[in-house]
Amino acid sequence: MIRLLKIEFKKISSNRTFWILSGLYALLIILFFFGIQSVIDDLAEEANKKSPIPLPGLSAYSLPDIWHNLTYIAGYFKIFLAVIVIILITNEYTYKTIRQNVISGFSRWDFLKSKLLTIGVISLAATILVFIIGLILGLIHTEDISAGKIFGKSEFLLAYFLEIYAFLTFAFFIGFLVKRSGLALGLLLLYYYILEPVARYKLPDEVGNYFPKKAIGTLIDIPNTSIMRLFGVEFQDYISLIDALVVVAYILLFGGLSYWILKKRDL
Amino acid sequence: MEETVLSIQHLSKNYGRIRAVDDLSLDVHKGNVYGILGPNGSGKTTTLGIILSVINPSGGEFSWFGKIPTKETRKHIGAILEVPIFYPYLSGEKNLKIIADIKSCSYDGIADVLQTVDLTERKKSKFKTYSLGMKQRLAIAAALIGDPEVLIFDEPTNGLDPQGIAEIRELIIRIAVHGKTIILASHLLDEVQKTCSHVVILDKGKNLFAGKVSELTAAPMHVEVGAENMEDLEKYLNENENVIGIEKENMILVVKLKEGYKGAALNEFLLSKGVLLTHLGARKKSLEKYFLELLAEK
Ligand SMILES: Nc1ncnc2c1ncn2[C@@H]1O[C@H](COP(=O)(O)OP(=O)(O)OP(=O)(O)O)[C@@H](O)[C@H]1O
Ligand SMILES: [Mg+2]
Repeated sequence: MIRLLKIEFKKISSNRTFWILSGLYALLIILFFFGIQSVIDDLAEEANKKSPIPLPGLSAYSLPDIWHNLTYIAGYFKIFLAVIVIILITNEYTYKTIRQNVISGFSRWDFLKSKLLTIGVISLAATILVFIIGLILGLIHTEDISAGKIFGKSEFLLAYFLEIYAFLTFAFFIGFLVKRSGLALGLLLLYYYILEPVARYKLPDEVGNYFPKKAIGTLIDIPNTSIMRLFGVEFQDYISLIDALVVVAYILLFGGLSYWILKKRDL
Repeated sequence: MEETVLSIQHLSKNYGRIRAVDDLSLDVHKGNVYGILGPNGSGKTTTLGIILSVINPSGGEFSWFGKIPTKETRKHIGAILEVPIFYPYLSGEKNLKIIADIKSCSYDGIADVLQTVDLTERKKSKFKTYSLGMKQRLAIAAALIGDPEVLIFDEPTNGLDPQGIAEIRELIIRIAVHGKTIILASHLLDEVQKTCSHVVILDKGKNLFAGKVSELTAAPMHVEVGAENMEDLEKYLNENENVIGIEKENMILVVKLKEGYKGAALNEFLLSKGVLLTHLGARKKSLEKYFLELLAEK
């Protein structure tokens, strides 16, 4: 496993596109969360002032709620990571290096495993980034800090990791299927923003809720704000085990499909 | 009995209606150098791709070192298929390190193989900045990593300068001396004749001929003769019943003789007629000639 990751790291080490995109992603996330902290806090405060009943939890950034809020919002940026993953896999096809890897002594499974491990590392890095940002912002915005507050709701971080990993496996699968980066990204966006929403619109929720985008996207549900509570809208403010299992099932499905294709395909 | 390194049985590969490889069987023995010849599209690359496990065969099977092919067997093979394949944004050296990692062998040999193909000076340059010949050399270096028992080269001298071609030829002969088995697909018949001990001729995916190069080129069926008086020479040659054919070629005649009738006997015959030869030579049939004849017969 370590050996495969080492090889993968060598491949990536001088890949400028990879590092630029990764850097941009990190920068974007950091600037976004630090930049909007005052805006969000103002909004929260405004909302609470206007509400007839005084509501607790003034700041969106207070621990432990911040884990939910942050992971939910950060989820919107995952498409950036998908671009990186798509480039990583389609490059192996455009350069034909997947062929040379196998000739040199990789099994097809080794190749797939090295990519899935890389996706795992990327997801882990994204989770750690959110954790660090959350910790800094949370400590600033929370009164009476305690370990319980810091680590309460930390299951959202785990869920965030799952969400990213599943989404990236999906992106990887599409990249793997069509072999070309532009096409793969186009297909991913098409599916995410048109195909699935349209299909779900036509289908009952019991079915639609299990579609990949929906299942992956609602693992972490919309955080309930004071205003929403006021209107009686309640979203799920915990991670359900069933939801998580569905997401894991998707990871296995897309990983398995990729393996099946890789076995059948001439390189 | 020679040790069988690779055994191919009834291998076939279909691309839709095209039969790229058609019921091909072949045994490759240890320590020999095999030249694979065949016109464009005859299935050379496809066959090599299959035995390297990057192309799935439609039928038939093959075994390496008497075993079912796995990634472990592939680690004992060094190969280049068609064109040099590397990560363009990585240096030549780093690319070789990745291959060494995949083969689970140390980096110790990398300096050596770079030296062998004369790329030491440019090892830190990105692969994409290499010239075609340099890319080809790096591919050969990559194939040599880990001191594999078998080397497979698909058109290894493609794009090399004459000096480079000669060097690669030398290199192949040098490697062969060390008991390595080499499989070489090439369009340069002269190169195959000079470097290979065995030859396999493919056409439309079928095995037309497999055997020793010397078997093909041994029989000296043609004799070159020249004399002061060419008219007399031709006249008496025509009288000799052992001469089957005469061809004029510049200042000499190329004579085809009946089997068993040797150049010495011909010389004696001509002397008895008072024709003094200024030139007498046996002409070996070139591989090229044989190759073209074989394909024409089809
Ligand atoms: N991926 C593919 N899809 C469809 N047909 C293919 C594919 N690869 C090879 N072929 C066909 O298979 C046949 C054999 O091709 P191959 O590349 O093995 O020939 P070759 O002997 O290596 O030729 P060359 O001397 O030109 O390198 C050709 O007719 C080719 O068009
Ligand atoms: Mg070829």
